[in-house]
Amino acid sequence: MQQLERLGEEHFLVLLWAAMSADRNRKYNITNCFDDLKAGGITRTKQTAVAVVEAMHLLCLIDVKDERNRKNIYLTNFGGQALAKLAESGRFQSKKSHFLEETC
Amino acid sequence: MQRIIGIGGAGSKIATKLDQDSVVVNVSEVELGKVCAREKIQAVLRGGSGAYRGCRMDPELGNEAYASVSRELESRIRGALVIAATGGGTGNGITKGVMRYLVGRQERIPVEEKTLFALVLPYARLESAEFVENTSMFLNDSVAPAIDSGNTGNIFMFTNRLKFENRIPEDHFNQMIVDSLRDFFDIPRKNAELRLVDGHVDQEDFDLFLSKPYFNHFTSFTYDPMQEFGRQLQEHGNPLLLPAEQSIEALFLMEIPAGGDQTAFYNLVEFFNRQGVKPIYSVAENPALTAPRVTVAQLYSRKPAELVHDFNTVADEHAQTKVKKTINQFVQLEPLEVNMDEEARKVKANGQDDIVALLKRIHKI
Repeated sequence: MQQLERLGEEHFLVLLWAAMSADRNRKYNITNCFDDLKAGGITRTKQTAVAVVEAMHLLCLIDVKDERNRKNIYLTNFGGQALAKLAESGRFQSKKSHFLEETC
Repeated sequence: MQRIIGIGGAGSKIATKLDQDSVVVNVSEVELGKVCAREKIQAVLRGGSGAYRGCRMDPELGNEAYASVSRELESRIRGALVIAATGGGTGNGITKGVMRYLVGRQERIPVEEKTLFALVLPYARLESAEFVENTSMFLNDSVAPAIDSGNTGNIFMFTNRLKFENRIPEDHFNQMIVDSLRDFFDIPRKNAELRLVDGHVDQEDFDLFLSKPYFNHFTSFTYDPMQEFGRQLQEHGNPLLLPAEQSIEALFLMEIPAGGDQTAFYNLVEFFNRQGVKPIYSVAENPALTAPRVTVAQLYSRKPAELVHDFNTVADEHAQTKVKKTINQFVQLEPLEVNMDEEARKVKANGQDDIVALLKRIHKI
């Protein structure tokens, strides 16, 4: 619970988009994530996006795998549970992933 | 420089200006006959109908023609620079086939075999809606997956904007593109031939930079060390290319006159560092110059969907005007009462359920 309380909107969105990518059977990489965070007004720099992703990786909420010159993001079971709790809390609004919704 | 491959009419013209030893590909036998190239590859449509009129601006026909030349192209594109315009049929359709082939490659492609692309996009405001639509589809269906696959090298996004705004003849405009590319690809040679003052960008460094699957915006200008570099970079962006977005990687060559300030390059390093980018660079003494000159390349990531959005915004404006005229003329619509707060409440209520349902579908809860 303490971990969840410390998660912000950017973490919620990364978990959500990782879940959506799995649902749609699409690869979702750090660059896609950065573009979506930028489009959502969360951050303008890739460094922040990378830091968010790395923090969640360290917390075992996501896996990050080096595949064909891309770092792809995968939701873990632990991350799924965290996402469910965050959705239940109502603290954050979902935001669109332009990558997942416009290029599918 | 890489092997040059020109696809379609516009691509072939630019390719042969850039390098007379280039390879050109076209459906139109007539157009192929007009260019002077080391190798000409004739693509054919079923029924051989394209010999005179090519693909009639239809990318589907161009893609069909790709099948007739796929084997030749797939061996030649390794480490090559492919040049094509995206508005028509042949350049668009055959390049789509090339990109699809690259997307499908499962093995890791070595740096020196990455294919670069120089795409020439139509100017949405003044060119035909058909060119714009062909380009939108190409960006979505071909460029997006190609970048995501990581199997391409840099992609240069040229635009016809300057040509149309300044009413530049086609041949002269093509020469501008060629001169611009030559300037950029000359960096390793200058690094090798001029006296190096700091840093270095040899052919290997340059090829590694080119092998990254990002859009590349490069430009050259006379640099004034007394003025802020960021502002000069913005003012002297290459008008032949789509503007750069936030840099992910950067490379620059600074040429200084003999006896010139050997420390001015730190301004550029600091500028890029503030953006979180560590540039690779070379500073060399060029006795032919009287003032410092920089050639800068920025790699950036921009979702083709955003580019498509720009194109579609113009196309939509035209379409909406037409629709409005038609509706006003023929149809009397009742005003539709929508309670936005009510709709927003429905979406919010469903949001949590949707996420839980999604997590159950992917077996995470």
